[in-house]
Order: sequence, then structure tokens, then C-alpha cells
Amino acid sequence: MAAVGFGLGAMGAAYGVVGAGLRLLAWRTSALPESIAVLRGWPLAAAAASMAVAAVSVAVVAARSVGSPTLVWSWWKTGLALGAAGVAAWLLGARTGWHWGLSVTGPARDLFEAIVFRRTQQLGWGAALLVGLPVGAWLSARCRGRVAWRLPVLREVPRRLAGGVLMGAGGTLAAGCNIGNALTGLSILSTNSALATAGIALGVATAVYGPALAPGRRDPVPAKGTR
Amino acid sequence: MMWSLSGFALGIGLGFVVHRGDFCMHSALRGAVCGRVDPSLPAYLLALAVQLAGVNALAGAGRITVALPPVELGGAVVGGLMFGIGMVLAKG
Repeated sequence: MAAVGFGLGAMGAAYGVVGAGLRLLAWRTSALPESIAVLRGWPLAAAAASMAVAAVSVAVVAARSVGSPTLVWSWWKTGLALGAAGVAAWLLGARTGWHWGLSVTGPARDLFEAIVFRRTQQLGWGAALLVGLPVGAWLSARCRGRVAWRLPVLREVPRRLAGGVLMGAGGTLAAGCNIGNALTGLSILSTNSALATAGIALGVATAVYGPALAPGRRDPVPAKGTR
Repeated sequence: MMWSLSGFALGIGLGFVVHRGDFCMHSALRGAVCGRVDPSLPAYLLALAVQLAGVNALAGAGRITVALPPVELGGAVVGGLMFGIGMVLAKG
């Protein structure tokens, strides 16, 4: 019993230290402008338009080396649908006071807090979005008639769990994941989201090329179906 | 309450699109880092462009409220770094 109590205490202390450390990192700075549009003194519309043109150009050039898929939507169909969903999220969410657009990390935390700590006041439009997400994915899969629960190989469970913890803590610290930051935040030219997006790309590179972090995972082509 | 249900409906649509398009930011970024183009990369860039045009036009017309988040330099960079590493470890 004492050992269990000590273990729990150590876990609690570790949680507290990590939490305090993470909060220390999240200091606010006014040294940088909140919008990347004002970095060069550009008006917002011009900055947004040129960024959009640049993104489409890179997409078209990059897509030249992509084969046309047979089972899934083409990249442009997926991109257009995703972009439309993003704009719709701003319009629909605004009706309920959700002024952000598509997001996953924030709503995930709201749901977690509601379930674990019974703090339900944050539950709203974002949480509803997140609850609908797997339903839609399931529907899409069901329409094709291939739905099955897939469990990771036991040997991989610790690594996947560690990855999940890093994603949760990192996403919270960075005020969003790759949807909230790389898609939604970048579209309103948020400096914080641009920094977080750069951090995420750097993190992926670190994990792919860092031998100590992901032994045996340095294959440049991840196997399909392992996502 | 009714308008929150629109979030649920859009979530279903989003889940459908993400699954049907095999959209995965992990694949997109991992491909880019490894010098390979995953179809999710141009899809992401196109979605970003559509949002850049749509959201800023709506904001300019006063239809939506856009409030930029404060800049938390350490949190954004270190949090992003942790998220990116975690994404590769968790494979998704």
C-alpha cells in the first residue's frame, strides 16, 4: 500500500512539475505582432491573397508528382471540401460564440475536462464538432463496407501512448494542433499559429531523422495503412 | 443549442471528407520532410488557400469576428515541436 501511495505521489509530483514547466513556457510576448500580415506592413487583404496564391501554386507544382488515386478522392477535391468546411466552421460557429473555425485540440480538452473533472461550462460548438468527426469517418467507411476496429501491435502500444501524450501536451501548449494552427490559425495569419506550424514541421523532422527518438522508424516512406 | 448541433453536423461532414480523401497531416508533413509528395500536402495547401480567401473576405465584410490569439513564443515553438514528435511516434 505504501509503495502504491508513494508511486501515486511521485506521479502526482511529476505531473505537477511538468505542468508548471509547461506553463512557464507559455509566457506571452508583445515583441512580435499577432498577425504575420503586419510583419512587412502589408494590408491584411493583400497578405491573405498573396498567401493563398502561393499556397495554390505550390500545391499544383507539388501535385505533379502525385499519382491519381483510385479509391480515395483526388487531392483537389479533398482540399476544396476541407477548405469549404473550414469557412463553414467560421460562419456556423460564430452563431454560438465560437470564433475560431475548425479545431481539434481545444474541443478535445473541453471534452476531457467535462468527462474527468465535470467542468462542462466550456462544452459548446467545438465539442459538438469533435463528436461528429468520428461519426462522419465511420459513415464514409461504412458506405464502402469496410469497417473494423484495428488494434496496434502490443509492442507498439507504449510508443503510441507516448506519442499521444506528447501530442496532447504539445497541442495544448501550442494552443492548437495541425488543424487549429496549420489550417485555421494560418488562414487568419496568426503569428502564434505560424510559429506553432513551424514547430510541428520541425518536430516531425526531429522524430524522423532523430535515431534515438524513433529507432527503426527512419524509413523515408511510411507504409500505407499504418496511420 | 440548435446552432451547436450545426457543429455536430459539420463534424460529420468533416470526418467524411477526411476519411474519403485519406487526408492526413502526418503523411503530408512526413512526406515533405522526406522529400516526397503525399497527396495530403497539396490538399492541405488548397484547403488553406480556400480558407485564406473565404475567412478574410467574410471578416472584411463584417460577417464573422476574427480575434488573433496572443503570441506565446515558447509555448508555440516547444509545443509544436512536442506535437510534431508525438505525431510521428503515434503514427497519426
